[in-house]
Amino acid sequence: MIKYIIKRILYLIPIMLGVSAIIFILKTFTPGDPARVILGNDATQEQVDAKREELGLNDPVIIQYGNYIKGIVTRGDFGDSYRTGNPVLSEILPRLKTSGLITLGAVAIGAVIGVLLGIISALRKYTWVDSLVLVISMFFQSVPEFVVALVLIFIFAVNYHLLPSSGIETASGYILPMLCIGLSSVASYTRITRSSMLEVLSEDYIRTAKAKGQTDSNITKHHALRNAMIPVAQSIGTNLGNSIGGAMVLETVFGVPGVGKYIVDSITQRNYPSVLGGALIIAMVLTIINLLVDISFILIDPRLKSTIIAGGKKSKKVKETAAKAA
Amino acid sequence: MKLKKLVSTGLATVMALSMVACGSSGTNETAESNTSGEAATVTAENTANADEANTEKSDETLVVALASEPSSIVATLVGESENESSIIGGALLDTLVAQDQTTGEIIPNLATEWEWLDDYRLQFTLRDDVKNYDGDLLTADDVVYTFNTLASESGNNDGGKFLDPSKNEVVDEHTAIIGFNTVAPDIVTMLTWTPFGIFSQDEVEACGDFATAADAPMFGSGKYHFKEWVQGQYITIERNEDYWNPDYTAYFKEIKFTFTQDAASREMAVEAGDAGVANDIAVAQASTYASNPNVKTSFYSFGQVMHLWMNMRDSEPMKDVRVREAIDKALDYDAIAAYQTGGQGTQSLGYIDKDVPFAVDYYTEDERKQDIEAAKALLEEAGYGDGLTISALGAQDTEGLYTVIQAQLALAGITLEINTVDIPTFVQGANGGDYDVIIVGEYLDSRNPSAWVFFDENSINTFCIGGPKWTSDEIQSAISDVITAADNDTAKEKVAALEDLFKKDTLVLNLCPEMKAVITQTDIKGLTTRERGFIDVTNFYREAE
Repeated sequence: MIKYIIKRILYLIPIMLGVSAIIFILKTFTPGDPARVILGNDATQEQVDAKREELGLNDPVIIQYGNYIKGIVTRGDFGDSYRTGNPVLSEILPRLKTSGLITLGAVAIGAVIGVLLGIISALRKYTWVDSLVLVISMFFQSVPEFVVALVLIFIFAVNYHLLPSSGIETASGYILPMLCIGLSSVASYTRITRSSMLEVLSEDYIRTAKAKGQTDSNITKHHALRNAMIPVAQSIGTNLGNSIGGAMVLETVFGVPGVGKYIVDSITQRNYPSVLGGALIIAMVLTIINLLVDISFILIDPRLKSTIIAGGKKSKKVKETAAKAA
Repeated sequence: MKLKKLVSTGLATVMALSMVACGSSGTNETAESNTSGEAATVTAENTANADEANTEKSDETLVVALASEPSSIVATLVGESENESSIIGGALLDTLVAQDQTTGEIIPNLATEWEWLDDYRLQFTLRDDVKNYDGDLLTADDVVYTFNTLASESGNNDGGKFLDPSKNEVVDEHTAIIGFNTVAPDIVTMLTWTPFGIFSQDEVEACGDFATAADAPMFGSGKYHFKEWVQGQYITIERNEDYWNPDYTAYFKEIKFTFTQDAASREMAVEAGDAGVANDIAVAQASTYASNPNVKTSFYSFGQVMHLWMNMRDSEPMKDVRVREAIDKALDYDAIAAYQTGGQGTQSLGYIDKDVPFAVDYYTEDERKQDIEAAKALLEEAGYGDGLTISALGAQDTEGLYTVIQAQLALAGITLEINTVDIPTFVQGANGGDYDVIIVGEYLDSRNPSAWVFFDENSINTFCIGGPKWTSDEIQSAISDVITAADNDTAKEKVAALEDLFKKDTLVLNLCPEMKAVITQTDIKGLTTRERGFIDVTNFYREAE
């Protein structure tokens, strides 16, 4: 297990190098001179040239990239923001906390609502309740998140004055962004829960439990739900990544000072160190989340242990055994 | 089955209703609001600066929703220039002189008198009762320190480009001389701009270095003092209880600036009561809120006109004057103005906004009527009878306007390829001259070289987005005549001469005024503006019930 975790952590290195290289290359093709952005439109060409030299922008891209990576590895230095002059890392970390809170809250809301709807849908399969649940969940998945955001602001802030329309000065400011992102993932949880529940409910051991005289609620609670939750738990990991992406857009609508808003602002300002730093840190967080999710799979479903930890070899062996048996 | 249908219908109805409700609360209320709501009074006229001054003080906090967070509050200290910094910093630092935003007259502020000693030196006599943030009295040393600092730290932009610190001088405790490097009698107008707010050396140094001072400006003698900046969330300023001017009363005890990029969210923050003022709402979008009785929408022009410049740097086909004239003839200026101003403004008949004191209505509306046949004939004559394709460069917010122009030019057989990009890319493209036509809003409301920098011969190779990256001795001379004119009447003649040159070669087409829109709670009054149409947050007040 530890070997597996170390191996996965080592995978971070090529992933980070790949992400940073792609962004760095994209940066070189993007029009707009950062030196002019920093100095303003009135700066003379001489001043712009001097600034470019100071920032190392006249060096070949590979040298710039090498210097950047060296800074990160040796000093944990993601560069300084062109806009404020502050270290990018110090600007991103507090924002990462904000985005993280919203993302976790959103995933929790989405999972709770989605799983409940999925269970109801499965237990009432092919009835009007099933259809209704499907329509509701599909509605929130189909409508763009920013539209849902404006609708939620209108209802909860403008009409009923229950929640603030923007900002996170108070804890209640987190609710609408969480709800908005969470609702968009409801459909995915509902569908997975429903199909998983239906699959489990058709298993032999459920029939056996029924034959033994177990009540429906007991069967659902103790036999079906636990097994049906495995794919749901797995989808939480995937949704975490999606939710971080959703948060990036919605932070600008809700005026939330998160990483997403920071990156969006930095892109429009040609603030390359902030864009690079933000993207790299998000990539790092997502990779770590994926690792944790994979580890959680093993804890939730021990059957996966041999497959995941041993990788392809084991599964090949399993396949061979299965083939022989066939 | 029936139940299923009923539920489906009910659900669909709920969804539809919720979407309609969110789309516009005013759709069905337009008639009511037009008869009773303040939004109904919105006209093409300037609705800013129209209220009487406030006389009451309250303990309330005004929340102003801005589109973005500034990188610093006193931007000139770190050589920057940002709209949000101007709005916030303008409340903290007073200028030597002010501008009456209704009459345009330059009026005393920290200085009681001023006089030109020669073409380059302006002497100011200061009030003797102005207290800085720390309670010390403002002196001539502070004034000279400010202008020296602006010259050294903001030499690239409006803040310092035209200052000559070698001529600055402290005459006595209340008299200071400020030097300039150019001849411009109206340059005193520039000193009313927010980057020229006065600060004292002691106070700035007490803050630390310039970067720290710019972020937490515990200095200044303005109507408000800096209180707090929670990065990413808000900036708060508080009323200066020791303000020198007895004729001014700040209604709000505190003003809190929040930052929300999305304009619809800012509007809803006002509607929800979370903000009193939503700044920087696009005019077209604001027009959709004008009939909403729950908020007050104000539109105003601010001395900036949108121009369509032709690129004539050796580029075919724009070098041919007949092509340029054909573009002029193909345009429907009334339709362009109606679109761009959301129906609030009319076409610009002169290069300079009609509300500016030295503006000239150079063209008549008849002269600028759309004439597609004439445009086609000109193109035929120029050898483009089979059609012509030209490229347009613009900032992203000109996309809609270009689309209108594209449709009009298409009638004459001109295909317009639109390239709208973000500001840094736009500046780079404009400086590179990589376009046939370009739309730029030029702010020319005073005759100082900082405002007319678009034409500055020395800058034109690095900063030309207001110009065709092309000039001539005649044009340079005409511009110089406008800037150096002793008074506005003389300047009008010079502006007409400049327009003659523009017209002769069809260098630029005057489109329409640029307008801004601000949304406030219905009982908030006192919308006043400063240079470039920045809102002056210090004059807002809540109307007594």
